[in-house]
Amino acid sequence: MRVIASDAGEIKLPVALPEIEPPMRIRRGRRVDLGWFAALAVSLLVLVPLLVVLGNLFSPDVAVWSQVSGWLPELLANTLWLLAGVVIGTVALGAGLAWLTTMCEFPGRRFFDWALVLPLALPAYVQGFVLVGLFDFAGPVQSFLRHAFGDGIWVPAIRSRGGLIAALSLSLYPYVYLLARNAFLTQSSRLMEVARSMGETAWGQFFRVSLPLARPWIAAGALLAGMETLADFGTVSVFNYETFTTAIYKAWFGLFSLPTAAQLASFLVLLALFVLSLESHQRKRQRYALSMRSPTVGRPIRLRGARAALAFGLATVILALAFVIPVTQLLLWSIHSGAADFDERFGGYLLNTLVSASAGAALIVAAALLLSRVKRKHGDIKTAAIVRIATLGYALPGTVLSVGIFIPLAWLDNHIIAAAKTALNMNVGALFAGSLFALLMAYGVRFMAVGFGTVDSAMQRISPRLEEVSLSLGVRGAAMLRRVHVPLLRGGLISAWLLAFVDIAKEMPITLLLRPFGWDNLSVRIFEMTSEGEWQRAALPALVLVIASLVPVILLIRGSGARK
Amino acid sequence: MSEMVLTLSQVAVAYGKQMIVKDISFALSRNRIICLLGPSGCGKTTLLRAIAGFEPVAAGRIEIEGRVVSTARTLVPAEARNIGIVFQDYALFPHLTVAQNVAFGLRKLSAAQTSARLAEVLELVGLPEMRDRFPHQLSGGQQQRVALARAIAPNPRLLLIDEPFSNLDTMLREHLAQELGRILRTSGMTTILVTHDQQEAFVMADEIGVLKAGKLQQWGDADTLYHRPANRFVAGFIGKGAVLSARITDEGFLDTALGQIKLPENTAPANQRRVEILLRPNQVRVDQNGVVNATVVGKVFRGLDILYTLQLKTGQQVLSVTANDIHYAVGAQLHARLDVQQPVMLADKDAELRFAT
Repeated sequence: MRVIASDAGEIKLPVALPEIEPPMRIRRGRRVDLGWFAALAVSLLVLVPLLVVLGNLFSPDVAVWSQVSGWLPELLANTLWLLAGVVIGTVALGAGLAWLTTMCEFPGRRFFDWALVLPLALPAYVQGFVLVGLFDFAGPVQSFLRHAFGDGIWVPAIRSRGGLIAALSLSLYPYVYLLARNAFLTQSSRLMEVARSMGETAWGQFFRVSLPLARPWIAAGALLAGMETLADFGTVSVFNYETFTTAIYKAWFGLFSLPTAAQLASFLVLLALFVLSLESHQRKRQRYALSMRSPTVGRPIRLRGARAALAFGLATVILALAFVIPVTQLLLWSIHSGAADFDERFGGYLLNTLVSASAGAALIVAAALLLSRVKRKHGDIKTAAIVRIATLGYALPGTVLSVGIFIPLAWLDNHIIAAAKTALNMNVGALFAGSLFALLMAYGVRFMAVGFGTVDSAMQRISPRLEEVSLSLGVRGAAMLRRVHVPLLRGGLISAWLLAFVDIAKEMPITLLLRPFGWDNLSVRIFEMTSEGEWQRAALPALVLVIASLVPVILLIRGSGARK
Repeated sequence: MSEMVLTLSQVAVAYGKQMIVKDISFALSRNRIICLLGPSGCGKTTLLRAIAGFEPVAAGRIEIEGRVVSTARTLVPAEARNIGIVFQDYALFPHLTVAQNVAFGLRKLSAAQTSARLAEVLELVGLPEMRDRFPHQLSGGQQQRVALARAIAPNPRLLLIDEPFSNLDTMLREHLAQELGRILRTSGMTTILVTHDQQEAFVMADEIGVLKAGKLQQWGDADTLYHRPANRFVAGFIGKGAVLSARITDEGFLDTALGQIKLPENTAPANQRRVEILLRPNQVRVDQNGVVNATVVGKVFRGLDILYTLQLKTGQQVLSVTANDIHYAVGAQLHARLDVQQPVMLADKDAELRFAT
């Protein structure tokens, strides 16, 4: 009796085995895994809004279409110019600064190495309104210039495309900086030494070796910045710059035309998906661009004299513009007018931000734990696709998500209302749309990737052997999750919660579009004050958000590892 | 059947379409310690994982105490098998103390019973004073004993141990192997060990199964494997030796370059005249008296003895071991003779092989 493997790999038993007794329990694969279906449900929360929005691509409504098609050229031009400008700006700042702090040596390098990440704590819209407040006609800079040089002096307008690109680039360059820094630190110095032995100068090494090797990382960082730009609502509002996000807001809350908003959202989501596909392509390329397993850090390029002064000056100016000056200005404004604003209503904004961000972050962490566990348990393509879809939200602008979530929830509400009326003769109001439930759901979808990435990388550090030992000792399912995974993942779960908390607290468009009537929080307060040009009165809530955001940024800096 | 703790019948395990283990059958009775021995990649760990319930079988079946746990269609999950396992890297829970690790699987016991069992098991592995330490505060050998205690604590029907000493200092291995053997025998655990090191297998196991490329080559105790290997692979894997060609004479002798050996009755292959025989180093004796028929081409002082490599006139090489004070220089001309009671005949490579008994 022999077991034969045929060419097709099938196993045949030529001689029958004796009758098999009934097994103790059926095969594990056939046991219904509730976790898997829960993960599927999470992915549907992303997929449904996405499909709802995409379904509006070509609205059958002629009135809507004629209106939207009139706006489209300007919106598209504005959005693409902005995108191009921010990508160039963040790459120039991020990659350049990262090269200086990782590959060179100049006074203050060790400080700038981590300090240049700090602007990540400033939401782009805060950076935006502070810059406008500083450089606007009535702001201190122009007032000073007029005082010093007379009224005739020409100063470039801050509320322009250029000013907006500058504000977004100053706020978003850390994405490129962090990834480029990581790429430069993992490059082998041997390659640089080869270039040097062939007579390449420092510039030649940068442009011919370091930069090409780091391109996938830099591109991925720039595309992340691009996604943030597409999703941005607060900053472009401050600059009165029309993009898809502001147009969606106006269509919905100005013209009260949800179909128009949905159609605009469908174009924006196409752009976002395009950027997303570029980003995932770049991420795949990172694998092939890694030349060596263990990078060797060589001798840095020592800058002297004028060049050292230039490097120091550049880093100082960027850090000042992107972090020190805005934070100082926020502090001054808060001291000046904060006392008046620090009232019961402010307590309400703060409480709403705390409660919604805590709850949203908790949901995200729970779902991230579920997704990570399911991904690990089932290694198949179907599960991988579910997890990928469930974490797609980071590429979907908040305005798009809000439209995509509101439409099906409103539809559901209408059916419930109608059913209650006919069946029970009861008058019920809207249940889901415009509820905290919808708001939390949108937050969860938008920031799932933040939580998942953190939890999943912690999960990957848990040896599968530990799970197998647990099984062999009879501990499985929820008990295993509680006794093995949760204690081992504790650090990752806390970080994931913090990151998600801060992202939710900063999120502006989702909050504006989906919040329950009369429900305000810090970001809504900032929007209201900045849309009236009251920069000073937006300072206190902005300062609170910046301080909260510093926590995960510090965690990030501590985890990113410095060059020795 | 039920006195057998574990029975494997024609078990095959595959990853995707690739067969890792094929046609494995053996049975294990209570309180026995067996060892699956083979080079890395031979499928021994895969087989262990199939027995534990972590891998499904592609064919055949596995029974534990007479109950079927694995067939191509059924798989009793690992958590329902009551099998203890000690992994190669021990897989101790880093967030739990020694006591918490060991008590991890003691769920159905009362607090008093748990602490009694805990004390008993920690005593057995000799670590009662380490109960409040964390895994990272222990040496490799201590970690292994904690993993062992954790696996033994719920009183499993069967204990599986994967490569017990691969992560440990070679200096410590022999001592730890004896210690592990003592613990296993004291606890009366029915055990399967997996290793690539024949010394470990010899120290601990009652029976050894030699695996190569997913197939069982031979099953037996250390003495059988060493002195009567079933084939060329087992002969080469277990201990040192050389292969010498020989001719079977009509009178029932083996004719070799080093003289004749009398064949025991009815052991000659029916239709073979030319065979190859396995010569262990202790079966080749050398001295300076007699006809010169060998030249020393290699010499290794091994402490307890000296191992010589000899070149014969035919060009073939054999090994010979002498006492550690008998020195010959490389290049010395010697007389070598055979001291073989039961010659081991090896047939052609990888064909079904038989040995003389």
